[in-house]
Amino acid sequence: MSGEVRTVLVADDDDDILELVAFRLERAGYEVITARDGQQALAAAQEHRPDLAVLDVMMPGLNGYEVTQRLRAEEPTRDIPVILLTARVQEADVNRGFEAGADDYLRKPFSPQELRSRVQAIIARRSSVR
Amino acid sequence: VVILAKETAPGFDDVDVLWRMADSAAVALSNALALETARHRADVKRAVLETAHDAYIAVDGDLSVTTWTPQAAALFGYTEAEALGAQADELLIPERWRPGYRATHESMLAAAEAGPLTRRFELPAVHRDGRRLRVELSASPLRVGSRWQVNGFVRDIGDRVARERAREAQRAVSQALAETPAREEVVPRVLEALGRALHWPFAIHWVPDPLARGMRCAALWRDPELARDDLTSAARDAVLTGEALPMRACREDVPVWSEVDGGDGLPLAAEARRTGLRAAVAVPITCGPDGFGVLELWQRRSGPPEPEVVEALQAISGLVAQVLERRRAAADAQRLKDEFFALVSHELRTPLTSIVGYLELLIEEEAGEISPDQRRFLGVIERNARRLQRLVGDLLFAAQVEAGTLSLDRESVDLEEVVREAVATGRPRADRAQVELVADTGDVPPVEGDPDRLGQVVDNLVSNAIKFTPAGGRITVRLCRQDGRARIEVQDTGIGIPAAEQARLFERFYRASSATERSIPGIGLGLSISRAIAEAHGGAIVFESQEGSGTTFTVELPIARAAPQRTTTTGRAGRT
Repeated sequence: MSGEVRTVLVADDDDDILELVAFRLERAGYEVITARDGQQALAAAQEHRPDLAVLDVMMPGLNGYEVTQRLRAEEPTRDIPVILLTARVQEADVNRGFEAGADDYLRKPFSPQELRSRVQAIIARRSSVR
Repeated sequence: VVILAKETAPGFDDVDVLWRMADSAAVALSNALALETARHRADVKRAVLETAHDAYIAVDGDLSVTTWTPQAAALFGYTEAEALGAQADELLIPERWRPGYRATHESMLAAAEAGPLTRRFELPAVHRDGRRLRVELSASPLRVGSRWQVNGFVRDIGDRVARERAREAQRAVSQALAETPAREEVVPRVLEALGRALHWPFAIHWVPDPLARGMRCAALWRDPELARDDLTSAARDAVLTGEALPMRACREDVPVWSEVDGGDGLPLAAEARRTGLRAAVAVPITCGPDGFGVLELWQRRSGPPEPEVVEALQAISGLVAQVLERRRAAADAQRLKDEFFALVSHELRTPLTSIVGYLELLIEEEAGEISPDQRRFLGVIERNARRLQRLVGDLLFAAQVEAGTLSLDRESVDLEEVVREAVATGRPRADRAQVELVADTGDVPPVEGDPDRLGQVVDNLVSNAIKFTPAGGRITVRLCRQDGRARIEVQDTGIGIPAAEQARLFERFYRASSATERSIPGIGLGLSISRAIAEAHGGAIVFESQEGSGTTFTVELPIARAAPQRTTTTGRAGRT
């Protein structure tokens, strides 16, 4: 882990939440790319190859599960870790997220500290693997 | 009988003459008497037979009709002149039942050789006009010299059979309706119940098809013996319009029937005719474009259905309409509820997430320094936003409990930590209410459960205790082990719960009168949620309360089976 700046892709169709998450992650020292729906998120992931993607589950067009599956299906984006943001509380939804290939999930509402620590943990794990 | 005395004869010749005269007189007299008796008997017999309710018919050994009473004429439509000498089976029995009828006749004659007997049968018969009848026959063969005479009393039991079938149909339908859980299963089950009970081998449920301005088949039942796939597919493909029987039933909103003549050009009618179906009755359930459509039932015999059966069908369709209406209303209510909870879940939570998220940014001074007053005001906003979040969470949780989808993330839970956190969470509120809040924890092994949910239970109880305890009071949260179970007690010195209200305390949305009177905030979900959580953990929650002196809530939880006792003890010792 050098002083290299890590890039995080954040996708949410709610602008307020998007800005909030982006702001928090920028304050935590990450470079943030934002997307407002699943298609944008997929395109941004393919273009920028972020170190991590934080995806809202409920998005128009492609939802978070579908974006995760598409990322996993393509070689260049296969290894991008994914954290799903979900407003849902059902266990089935959580399982669906993991089946789609997500690394972690956060239930809305989440605390900024929790988001930061999950992001840090996953990026640290990836770095140590590399 | 005439008796003459021989002794009194005066002379041989005279006596002889006298004897002959007497003999012939006696024969004549006895003949006359015998004739008179026979006439009398025949008259009596005829009178009896002709006033009897039942028809009397006699046949000989070859089934040729020898006696035919007016009742027989009324029952079957043939005059005495037409009936006498005719073959009873050809005259009265439907063709497909004739061989069986003849065989029964022969076997009865054979049995009657041994002695007199009477047998009773229920059998189908045909009226002169082709109408099918259901009759009961009591038959007794009698040998007269070298010939047989079979006396038969015949009674029309069509009404009784129709009544029995109508009753059976109603019973079968009621049972099918009682057993059927899903809405889409209701009508298919009714069709089958009706078909089996009435012995009608084919039944279709027609529903309105607004696009075709007609009706199409929504469900059908076919007697397994009626092996005609063409019939089934003709029914499924049919789009009824115009004068089709179910359309008429719907237009007139009464049961209607018709013979199946195959002449209306519908492939379905032609197939039905080929299959041997002769008549159909259509019974509306409810009409109109949103109606539940029409039941159409097909039978093998021609002619109209019995009035008893039609009446029963009308009653049944009314019942089906009610059940479908209720199911539709229940489904609508369920859907509205689901939509409501989805709305609560997404549309309320999402803005709350933003509100709390940005508040935190401000309070943490990520957007610049704030003044003490600003901090205090933001704190008020935050506290209320969190309260709103809790309410939304509680509503969702109650919905999950209701739907049976409550899921627990189970792990080993240290209850002492749960209690400590609940006390820490409640502390600021207790301080504001000037209530002393203390924890008193003993040595308890871990339980298996969801730490967040168990924390929610203790939070709820502590928060309630604070709400209902006046300033200067004391709340003790105790943790101990008793009878192999973990116990968490939340004891307060509050206002208590009136005895009359205690039974309803755990009901959803129930609020104690003291709570509403004193404007104590809450929506009455906390205790019902707490109980659901305790029970989901295999535990229970109970309380004791004395109005004016306080309340103690007790949560009991099973202790995890292979509890690592020592580790816990050490851990506890390390923390205290």
